Amino acid sequence: MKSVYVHLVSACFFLLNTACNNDLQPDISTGQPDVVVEMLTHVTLIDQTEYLQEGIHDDFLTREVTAILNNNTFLKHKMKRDAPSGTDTVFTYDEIPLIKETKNCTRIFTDGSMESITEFLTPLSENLIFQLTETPVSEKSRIALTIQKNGVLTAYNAAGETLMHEVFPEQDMREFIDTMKIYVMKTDRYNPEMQYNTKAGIKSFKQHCTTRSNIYELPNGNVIVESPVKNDKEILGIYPGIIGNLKSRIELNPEMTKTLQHDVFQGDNLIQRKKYTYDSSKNLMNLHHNRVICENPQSVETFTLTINTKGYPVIRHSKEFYKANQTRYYFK
Amino acid sequence: MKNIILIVCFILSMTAFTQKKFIWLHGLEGAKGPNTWDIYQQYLTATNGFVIEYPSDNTIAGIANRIYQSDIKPIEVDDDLVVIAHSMGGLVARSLTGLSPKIKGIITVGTPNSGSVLLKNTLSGKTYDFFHQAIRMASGAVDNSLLSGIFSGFPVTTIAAPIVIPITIFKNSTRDGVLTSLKIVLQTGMGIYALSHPCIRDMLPGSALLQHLNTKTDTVPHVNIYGAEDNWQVVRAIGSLSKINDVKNPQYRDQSFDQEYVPKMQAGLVFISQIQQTHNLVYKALAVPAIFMPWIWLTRELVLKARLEWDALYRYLDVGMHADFASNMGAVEYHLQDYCIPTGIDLQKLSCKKSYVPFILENDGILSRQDVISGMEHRENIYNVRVLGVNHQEMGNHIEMRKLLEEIIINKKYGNAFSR
Repeated sequence: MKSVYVHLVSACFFLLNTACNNDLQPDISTGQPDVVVEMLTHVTLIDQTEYLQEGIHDDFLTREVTAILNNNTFLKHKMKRDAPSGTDTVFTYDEIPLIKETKNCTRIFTDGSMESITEFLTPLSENLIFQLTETPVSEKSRIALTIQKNGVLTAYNAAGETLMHEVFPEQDMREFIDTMKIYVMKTDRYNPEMQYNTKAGIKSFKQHCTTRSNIYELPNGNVIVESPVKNDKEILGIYPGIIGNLKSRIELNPEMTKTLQHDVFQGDNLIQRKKYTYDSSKNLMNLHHNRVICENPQSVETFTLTINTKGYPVIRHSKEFYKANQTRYYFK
Repeated sequence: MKNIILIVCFILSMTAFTQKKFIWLHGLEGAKGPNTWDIYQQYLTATNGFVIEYPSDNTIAGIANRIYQSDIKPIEVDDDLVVIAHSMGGLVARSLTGLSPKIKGIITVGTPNSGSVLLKNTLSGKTYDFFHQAIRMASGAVDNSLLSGIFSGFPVTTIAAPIVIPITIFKNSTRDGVLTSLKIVLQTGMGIYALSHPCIRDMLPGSALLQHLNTKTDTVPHVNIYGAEDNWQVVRAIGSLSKINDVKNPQYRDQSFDQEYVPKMQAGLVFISQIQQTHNLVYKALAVPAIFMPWIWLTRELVLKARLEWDALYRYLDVGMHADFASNMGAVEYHLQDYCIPTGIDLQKLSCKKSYVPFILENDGILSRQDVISGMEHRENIYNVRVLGVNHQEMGNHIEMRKLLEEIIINKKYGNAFSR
């Protein structure tokens, strides 16, 4: 009976996953007629915290941050270390890298309902952090698949056994669909040549942006957008010893279609940096029917100044690598 | 023939006179309500044993002396005694061996023979840090998610609503329903209580009582039972504490009492995954209007930032909080390990590092292995025995523990000193 059930779950997942096949082909007419938005993601995330160190995090080591580190002998030692030694000591668990590969397909239907399937592909054995115990967690208890559909969220392990079955109220996405339809249809009719006119893009930004933003072009053609981040200091969870207003600095490509780097500052202190790379793979394009409307990054690398569980300022370093990162729209 | 009958009667009567009596001692505050040892006592030693209840309002030596005078002294003339004790009761049992020469064997289960590091950290206020940390992270992730939706510049119902619904569920079921209650249960269950009971001081590492017990010569054989799963130790421990009355109820014999909190924490992690997917959806959706409204780039980054906070919280609930809890019990030691991670954007290119990393030793939800067997490993007359899958509060009601006690008492696995 159990094996029948496992096969049923597998079959159900196969059927659901068929429409979410991320091995994209030029013909994408496989989308069912009632699907209006389909989101595909296949990503590997690597995440860890690092102590601030000269030579590696120099842009974060401003005068104020350095003063904080100098007040703590341990942090000062970590910062001053010339080069990583052969042997080190891990003091908190978030220093140990966590690798997580996930695959998701989320579909929104014309009636405003939504379903989502997520596969968690990294077995526990591939992460050292789950082995650092005398009695390691059983793979059977690991959530390997979740399906959210018809107001229910179900989690399965890799053998297809149900681990959890919870009510998850359905979200009415009709307003979301209506809003997206306006922009997608507008984008689909957009004159591509206009996107390559940097000056027109800058002019458009200045016309529409109500905040005290600054926009200018770099010698290499890239565009810089500098904006205050309103007055919400809490929004980025900054270290208490660092003061000043938040501001954002975004570097875009000359066509203003891709974010290349995004820095957030508090006062003169860099508190977050994101770097983006692109490779123009079709799996990374957002599509309306079969037409490309914009491109998603292949990788995002983030450095964030944050506080670890010991209360020390550290850098949270995460890297995301996308095999697929795509939203398909099917508006009529 | 008459002589033979007389001899048989004499032997039988001698057997009856030398029969052992089994004394079952509970742990801290076990006297309130039905005792957990009742279950084993009823079928293992019902005809020649009994449970002693005692209040936990004295020093451990004081408790032992009171028990000796009122319960043991009156019976020790006739019978040899075996004491089976849980948790703090084990320290009482070890103290009793110096008072009663009739005690021929002791079995201790989950006893803080080297003192409880968790208790020490609870009294110093360190223990609650990880709950504060989890609640702080959860609150930050919730607040920033809602803000990122609102900042989009779209009507809240358009962009924020898909985020608000799963977050509200998470907030109600995990943050408010589990994390906060875990913190309160632990605070009221241990911290406040500990301040007013002198036996607590005897259980602190390095106490005079522990030094005395661990340096005196063992006069009787001793089976020292330790160990349990350390996975999900936070939820296992607190889940059992919250179900303490059920644990004590014989009708739930052999039932695992992890059932309340483990699924809730699992559900919390699944909800976080779902929230992350919703953030991805919003983030990608914002890429389209960003072509016309460049300031949307900033909102997009806020959405991504909020999603990363959920990642951090997921990781903390999945691993970090348990590690913190283990560390608070002194259940961590450092092992030299290698680990490798991909460098750059090439997932095949690895960068390897050799580090001393914190390794979680076995613990039973309240005590680490070091608390239970440190100093007891190389002593004569002591059998250190490991049992798996038993939480501290479930020790009086667990199938694995029952099997082990049957082996010791019925099958004489560790000799005649402990058998019926």
